[in-house]
Amino acid sequence: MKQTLSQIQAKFGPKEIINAGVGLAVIALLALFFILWKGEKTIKIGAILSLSGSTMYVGEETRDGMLLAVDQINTWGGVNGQKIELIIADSQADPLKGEAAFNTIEATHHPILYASTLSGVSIALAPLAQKNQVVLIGLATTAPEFTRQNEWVFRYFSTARDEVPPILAILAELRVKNLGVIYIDDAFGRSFFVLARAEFEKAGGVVSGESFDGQSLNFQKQLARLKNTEAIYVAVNPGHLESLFKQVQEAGYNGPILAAGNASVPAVRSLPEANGVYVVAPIIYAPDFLYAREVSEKYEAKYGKPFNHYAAGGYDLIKLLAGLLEGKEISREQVKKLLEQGFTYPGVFGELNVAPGEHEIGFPFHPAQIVNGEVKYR
Amino acid sequence: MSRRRIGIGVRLTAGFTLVVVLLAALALYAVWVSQEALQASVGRGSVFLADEMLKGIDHNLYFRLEELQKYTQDLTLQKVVAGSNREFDQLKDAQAYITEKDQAWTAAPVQTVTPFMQALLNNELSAELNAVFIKMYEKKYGYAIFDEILVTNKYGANVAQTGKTSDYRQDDEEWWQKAQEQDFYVSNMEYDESTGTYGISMAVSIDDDGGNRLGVIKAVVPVGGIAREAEFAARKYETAEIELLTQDGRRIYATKPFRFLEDISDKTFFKRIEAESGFFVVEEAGREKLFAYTSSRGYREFAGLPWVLVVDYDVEEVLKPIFGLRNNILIASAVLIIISIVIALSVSRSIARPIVKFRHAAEDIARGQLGIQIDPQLLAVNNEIGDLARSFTTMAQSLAQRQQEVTERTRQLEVSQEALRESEEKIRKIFLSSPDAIIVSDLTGHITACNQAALNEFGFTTEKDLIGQNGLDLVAPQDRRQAGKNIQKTLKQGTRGESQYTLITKNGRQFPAEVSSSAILDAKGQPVSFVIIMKDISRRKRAEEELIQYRDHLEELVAARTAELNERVTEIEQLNNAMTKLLADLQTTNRNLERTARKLQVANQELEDFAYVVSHDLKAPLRAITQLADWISADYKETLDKEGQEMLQLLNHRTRRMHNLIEDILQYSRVGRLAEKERKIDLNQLVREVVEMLAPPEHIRVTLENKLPLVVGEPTRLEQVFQNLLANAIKFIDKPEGQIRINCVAQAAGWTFSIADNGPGIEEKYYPKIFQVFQTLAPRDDPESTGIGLALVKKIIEAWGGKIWVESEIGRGSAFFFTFPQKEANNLEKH
Repeated sequence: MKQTLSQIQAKFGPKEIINAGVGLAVIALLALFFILWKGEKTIKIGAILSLSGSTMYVGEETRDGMLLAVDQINTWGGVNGQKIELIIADSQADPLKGEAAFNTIEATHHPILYASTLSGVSIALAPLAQKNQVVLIGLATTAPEFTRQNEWVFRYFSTARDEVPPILAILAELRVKNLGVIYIDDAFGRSFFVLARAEFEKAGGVVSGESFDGQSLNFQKQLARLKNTEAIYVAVNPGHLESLFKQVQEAGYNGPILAAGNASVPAVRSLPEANGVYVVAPIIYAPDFLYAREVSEKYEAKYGKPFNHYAAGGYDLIKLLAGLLEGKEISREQVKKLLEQGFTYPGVFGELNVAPGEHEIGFPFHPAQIVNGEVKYR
Repeated sequence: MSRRRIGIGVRLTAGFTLVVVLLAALALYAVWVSQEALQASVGRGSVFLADEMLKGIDHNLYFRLEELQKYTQDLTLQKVVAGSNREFDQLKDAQAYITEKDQAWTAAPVQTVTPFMQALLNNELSAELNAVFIKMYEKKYGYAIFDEILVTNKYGANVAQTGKTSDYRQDDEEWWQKAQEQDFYVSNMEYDESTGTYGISMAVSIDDDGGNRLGVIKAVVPVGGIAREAEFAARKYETAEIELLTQDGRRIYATKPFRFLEDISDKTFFKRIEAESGFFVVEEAGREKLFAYTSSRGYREFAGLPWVLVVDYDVEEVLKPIFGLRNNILIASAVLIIISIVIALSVSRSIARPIVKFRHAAEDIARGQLGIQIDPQLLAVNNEIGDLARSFTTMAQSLAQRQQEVTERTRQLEVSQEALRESEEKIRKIFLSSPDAIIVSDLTGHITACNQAALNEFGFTTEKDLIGQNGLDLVAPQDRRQAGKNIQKTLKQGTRGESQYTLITKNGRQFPAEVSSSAILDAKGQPVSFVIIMKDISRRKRAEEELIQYRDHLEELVAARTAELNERVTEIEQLNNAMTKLLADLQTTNRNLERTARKLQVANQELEDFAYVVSHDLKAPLRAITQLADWISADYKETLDKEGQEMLQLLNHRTRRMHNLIEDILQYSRVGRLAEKERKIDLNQLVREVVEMLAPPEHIRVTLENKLPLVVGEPTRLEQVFQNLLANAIKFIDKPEGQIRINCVAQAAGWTFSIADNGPGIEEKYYPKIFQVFQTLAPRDDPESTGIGLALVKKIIEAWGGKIWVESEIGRGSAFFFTFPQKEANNLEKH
């Protein structure tokens, strides 16, 4: 039986009006939600970083750089309409824990690629990347063997090959012929020591190497054995540098101290003991390098801490991937293909030219010196 | 055609919503216009920016060219180049030398640096070139402004260089020749074999002060460095991307990862590049982007390069303020629409609901339900609805009052109608059932109605036979004239007239009748008809005649009746005499009876006196004997032997028994003769006093099994009854623990009392005997047992109209029962 409108109206009480209003509001909110909500599928990137222990600094800075880039990209709709989702896990600088994190992320998120920090962890993850047919990009991973014979593994960081030549240039400038090297006895330290010794000896110098296990912060024995060298080059983790610099001063060593690129980061170079240390540094610390300065300002504004090349590596990697994937199908194979076909990328480390088939995406280091907490390029 | 009905609520809601939607649409249109304007503004600004950037690139290239030109005046450079020229001038065959060296140069493996090459790379000028043009900029900007610097002499042979070139001879190169010809040369982008990269070659001739060509200096400018230097101007937006393209769609530089010379001519945005500069919006990689582009126009004598610079931004970022405004408007519109719908519904409800109520009220009124109550809330509203509600209420009240009046009038009318109907019915019944003949006629005398009596009277069967006839035809001819006159008189005066006429029936029979007529008047008092009532007075006439005859025979009848009466009076007188005699006999008898009663009273008095005298006279010698025996016993106690003392004791017992016997006889004789005044007696108290008086031994326990009643009776007699029965029980109990139980059972007409003991019991054969005078079961010498006690009790009880009996079992005890009638004190409660 049809009801007349007046009959329907007559049935409208306050309760019906409120219900109608609430119903309409819910419908409107749902409509607005569906209008404004655009994220469906996300581009997942696994990040297995060293977020605790002596290398925590590296992992945290890398993570924050990645998050800055992700935020910027996602703010404007992501990549091809898909937002980037970073799946972060702490490797605790432990290869086994890194593997466990990889397997967990793989099982739960199946990201399109992984990024990892530290040579030990990255080397352990490389077979897993190969096995799962997913790209693994090493950040703050310097060990040369990382990228060897593994088609799914790429490096986005400098190696000894990038850092040692500017060190040699400094040594040449300083006319050092007898060099002492203190290096951490891991893939990173050994690679730096081996290359530096080879190149320095090739140029006619003499190298004395002293390793340490990375656990002890007592370098007195090593320093005692290197007291007669003209200069000491240190290739250790950032967390070791403060103690090392102090002990060098305490030992009364008068020769120049040279350090790997990780000493150029603000956390290290701001140490009083680091003043005067020769380092190699990427271009991001150059105040005239406007592009890096722009990112640096955003980073500092967001996190309240100075920008550094670990953060820059994380930031640039995300930007690089976003740029490569723009307008392309998003898949694990596509990531690999895009990286392998070579590209030019004007990122925060300057213009990177990556040849087709190249798995090493390094960035240049320049001779420099820490002066009053700042990097002075030479 | 009926129009579809649309309710107020729908209209208001639709109206509100339409207004809000229109406002929202207007706002969105404004946003759209603003968006277009902003987009155009940003587009134009971006074109300008791109133009400036490309100008910057052109300027940079020009300034690099200019820098090279300035450097050609460097003394060291001129000195070195001039020195080289002099050296080559001195050669016998400079061209042959160059060819030889060039062949050796090109023959060397690519990675090999020969000593000759090394010498060139490490000479003083090369170091200066490296420091001035390459290292300095790299350190400053982070990237190379010049990739390579090469200096040749006037023969085209390398003099200094910052990197290994592909050959030694340069005079065959276009740049060298153009520089020689035009003073300077800027190539398009080309692949530089020596650096392995693409770049722009710019060459400037080195001239001495005299304008003589000394050589050429060439610099390779990397493309990236050129574009990058200008790109920061475009970093207004985070999503800004810059691309430098060749005019055929190859990517030279981009701020995002790119492959050098990648062909992007199939990209949508490139296809939109048509003019020298412009902007547009297209979708790329799922995002809407604003593209602005411009082509190189060169600077001064530098003609520029065939490049297109494209700047693109994400439209969402560019139009973020507008989009924000749009979203806010959408949200605000949605909220406003909801609010407007709610308000509209509320307003419509506030209007429609009263209207619905008014409609219902009107329908109720239409149905006659005038006692409707308009919602008090509506009445309290201070607006048109309230006014309407109040008017409606006033109207309804007025209608109700009117209806009440109408109802009352209707009721009164109905009552009147009912009364009228009853009256008519009554009249009709009277009319029909009247024993008198009644006819109704019109003014012409024609009969219009008649009753059954009229039909009967005049011998007609049906009304039809009579109706229509002239009423005067029913009058005998001799009275007809007078009747006509009387009728006229009645009509004129409107009053009733009575006459006697002789009427005539259908059969012609004539009979006397008393005729009365009266006019029936209309509302104006005018006669419209008249009623004629005719009463047959034939019988009355005959009765009158008979009465006259009865009067004539009345005296005879009186005489006969008087004679009968006299006979009856005589009979009554005789009967009266007999009665008088009988009454005298009765008086005599009565007097005899009175005399007998007085004799009986005297006899009774004499008997009482006799009993008193006997008892008194007998009791006096007995007291003397007793006293004498007491004296003897007291005085001669020592003298008398045992037998004498026993004899005295026996004498004492016998005299006391005699005394008791006399006393009992006296009491017995008084029963029924001497009446004590009756009063209310509490038997509980009476029995207690009797028991106290009897003072039973300690081994005997007297128990009232229930509460005894309050009775009306002679207290002394009741006390004698209980005293005798209890005394007997106490006396005869032979058990070590005697029990006497007094009980009372209420009956319909009184009570039944029982006094039971656990004494020796009485054999049944003694039951009648024990109630006889002088019959006792006790020893004869017992002075207390006179044999009158139970006889006295029985006599007292029977004097009340009660009875007494005994039930006993040998060895277990006896129970005496007696009844006591309930007397006047009926109002006393039975217990």
